[in-house]
Amino acid sequence: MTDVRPHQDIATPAGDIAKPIKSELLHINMGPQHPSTHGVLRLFITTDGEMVTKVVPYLGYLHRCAEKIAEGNTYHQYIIYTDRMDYLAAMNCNWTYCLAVENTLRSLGVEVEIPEYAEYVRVIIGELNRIASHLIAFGTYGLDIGAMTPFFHALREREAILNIFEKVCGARLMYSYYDVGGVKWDIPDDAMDEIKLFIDLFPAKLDEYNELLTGNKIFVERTANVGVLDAATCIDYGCTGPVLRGSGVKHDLRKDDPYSIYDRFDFDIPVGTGTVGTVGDCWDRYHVRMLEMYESWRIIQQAVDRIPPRGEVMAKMPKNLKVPPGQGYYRAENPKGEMGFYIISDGGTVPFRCKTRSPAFHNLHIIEHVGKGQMISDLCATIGSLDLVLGEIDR
Amino acid sequence: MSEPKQTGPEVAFNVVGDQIADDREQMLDFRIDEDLAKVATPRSDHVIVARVEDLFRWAQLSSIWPMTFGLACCAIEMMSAAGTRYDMDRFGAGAMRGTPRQADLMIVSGTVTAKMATRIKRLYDQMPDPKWVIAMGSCAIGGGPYFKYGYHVVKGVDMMVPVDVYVPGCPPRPEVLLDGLMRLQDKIRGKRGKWRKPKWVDEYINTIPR
Amino acid sequence: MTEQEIYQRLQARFDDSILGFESDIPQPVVSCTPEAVGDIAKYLRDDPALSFDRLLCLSGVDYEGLDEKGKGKHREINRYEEDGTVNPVEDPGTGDLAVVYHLESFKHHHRLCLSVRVPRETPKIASVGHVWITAQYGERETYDFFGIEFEGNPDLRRLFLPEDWVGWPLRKDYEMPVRYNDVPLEGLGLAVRDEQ
Repeated sequence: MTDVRPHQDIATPAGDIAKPIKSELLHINMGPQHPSTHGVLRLFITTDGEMVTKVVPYLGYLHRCAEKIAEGNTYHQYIIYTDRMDYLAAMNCNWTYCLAVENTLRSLGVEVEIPEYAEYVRVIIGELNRIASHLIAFGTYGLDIGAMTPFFHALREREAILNIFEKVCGARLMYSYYDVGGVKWDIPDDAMDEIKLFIDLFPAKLDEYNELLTGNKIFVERTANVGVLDAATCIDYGCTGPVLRGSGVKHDLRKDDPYSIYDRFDFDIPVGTGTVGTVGDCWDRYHVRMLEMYESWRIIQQAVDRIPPRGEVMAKMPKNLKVPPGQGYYRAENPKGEMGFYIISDGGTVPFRCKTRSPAFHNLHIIEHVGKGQMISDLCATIGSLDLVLGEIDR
Repeated sequence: MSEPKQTGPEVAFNVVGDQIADDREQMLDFRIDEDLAKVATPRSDHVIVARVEDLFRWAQLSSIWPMTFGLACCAIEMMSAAGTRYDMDRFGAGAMRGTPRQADLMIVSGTVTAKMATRIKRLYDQMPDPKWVIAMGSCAIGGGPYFKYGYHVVKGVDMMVPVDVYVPGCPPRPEVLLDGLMRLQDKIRGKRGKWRKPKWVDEYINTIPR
Repeated sequence: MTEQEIYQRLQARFDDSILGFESDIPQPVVSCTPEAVGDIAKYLRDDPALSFDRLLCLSGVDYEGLDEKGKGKHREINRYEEDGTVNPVEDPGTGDLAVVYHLESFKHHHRLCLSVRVPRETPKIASVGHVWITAQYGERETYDFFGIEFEGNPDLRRLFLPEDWVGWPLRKDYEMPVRYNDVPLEGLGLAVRDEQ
């Protein structure tokens, strides 16, 4: 279990030089029940004193057989399982799946005409959930570092968003609101008022967060120059989302491969700039999320301004959805990164194969690379900055 | 000429079995052994006599320490329950512990898989007695939506560890978790607590259009 | 560069190894032999005109039950009877397994879908883990679910399921397990009761 190895010579008083110091590498299990692993992630760590020399992730403690279930349920029924993948951004997962099914249908010659009003509703709700997801990332990152207060501030605003979702679809966490061809229900009036109120109030809250954590001296000390990832490594490991953008790569599917109606909105893609340390450190990844919340707020604002008069929210779809034989890989930008579904259809009501490309799965892999040579406490900071959700990694 | 009013000592004598005793019992949430109290109650309203067992239970139910044990989606709702709006700390259950050795409540919040099941058993064994388990959400109760085709999912955490309270929902709202916590407190106490319907409930129900 | 041009370029370089090209579908598919996929991947990444630097998605597919036209009858994994018993589908599968790579280039913004079929009896394929590091995990996942062996992967173990798990769950002829070691996986077991 342990590797005994002679320690390198160190300067000691003359009499002690003859005695060699024996040191060992220590193997530690971090998880699956550990407060800072964001769920049931298990890391097998080899340490030399406080320094980590090797990190091996062990996955599967939340493997819920989603891909097998997809082969036994109809296209509509599988929507509820996409909720439970990235449970912090369930709306976005729904959206990606519905987008994949719609695009597969379109590519095989079936008309799917999503009403314009429904597209706007999708954007508003999706961006709200992006903010909610980033709020949890922000709050729990503070917890990992040792700051308790930001978590409560983040939950306060998240409850406001969940209130809106509850009025829209009646659920707090698992929505199943998006459907193939649109959304299930219209946004009620009072929910729309609440969204407008949220738009008015949110920028002040963002300033508050920045005051609390972003410029905090202890926080900067803990995160700047820690877990530095360069762009080439990120691309090689398949990282996407804030992890890739934190390393300075301007890549966002909402701009680069626009889906839905994102080409109509004016927003920026924030990238890591190394303001307090190196480009691609933990602070950059954190800061990209904070800036993204602001950009999402801008998108919601524009969408609420331009939303067309109320109309249909669903396209005319057959009740028993059949997809012609064919295949396709379609993707969308989720809060964690690029999520995609590879659907193979055999012409029936059930997908023949439905593979999920989950962003956090690829973002996790890089911990093997970046964990080497860190302190254990820095490893916790790095895991927090990657914003992992185990439901999506293990599926 | 009216009857003289009962004075302080009289009231104190009637502590057991009367309305005042009822109120105090409810306030302190533990049961008074009536016979024992009748004999031993001194003529003062500052002392209540009870069995040691009951006193211990009262202490236990007012300071349940749950383990930070998030498995899946329900863990987010558990976080919300401990967070700003719902504030589980009001019921003495807010001290989330990172290690099982300091905890006496395990909230199994999420899907239990075959790989995790043996770990849950081990964590449960590591907890000191007395200990309780709440199964939160459909998955922990009976597999939930992963019942069919879920080759890696254990259909209910009660196959692995004994469960005290089942909290249904997918995921349960924080209110439901708080209610489950109170049912657990009832169980520790040994009887159901009294619940008086607040006035506003009926008023609110009348406003709902039918 | 369009998929057609990429296919022609690949065919000029790897003559026999490229097996076919499905062009009449929206996301055209190039298929090749399992032995050559390592070299092809290296060429796809390193050639400056192609420079596929991202592996988006590595998925395994079990083509059991899908005929050549893509029409298939959906196969029941398990039959649940009225009285609660479970009857696994008995006949073993015969269809091919496949590994599908979705690639994208940051530089040129083009995409490619590469499909490799492997026989069900001897599912072996060359690893691309040395080309795109992210493939190492994808290959472990595919090995875990389909039992496809990737020759050259430095750490080919099960990724999600326990090491001593029996069977390949995402194959169409997989039988649902009743229990794993001490852990019951059926829904009809008896719950543990509190001894106190």
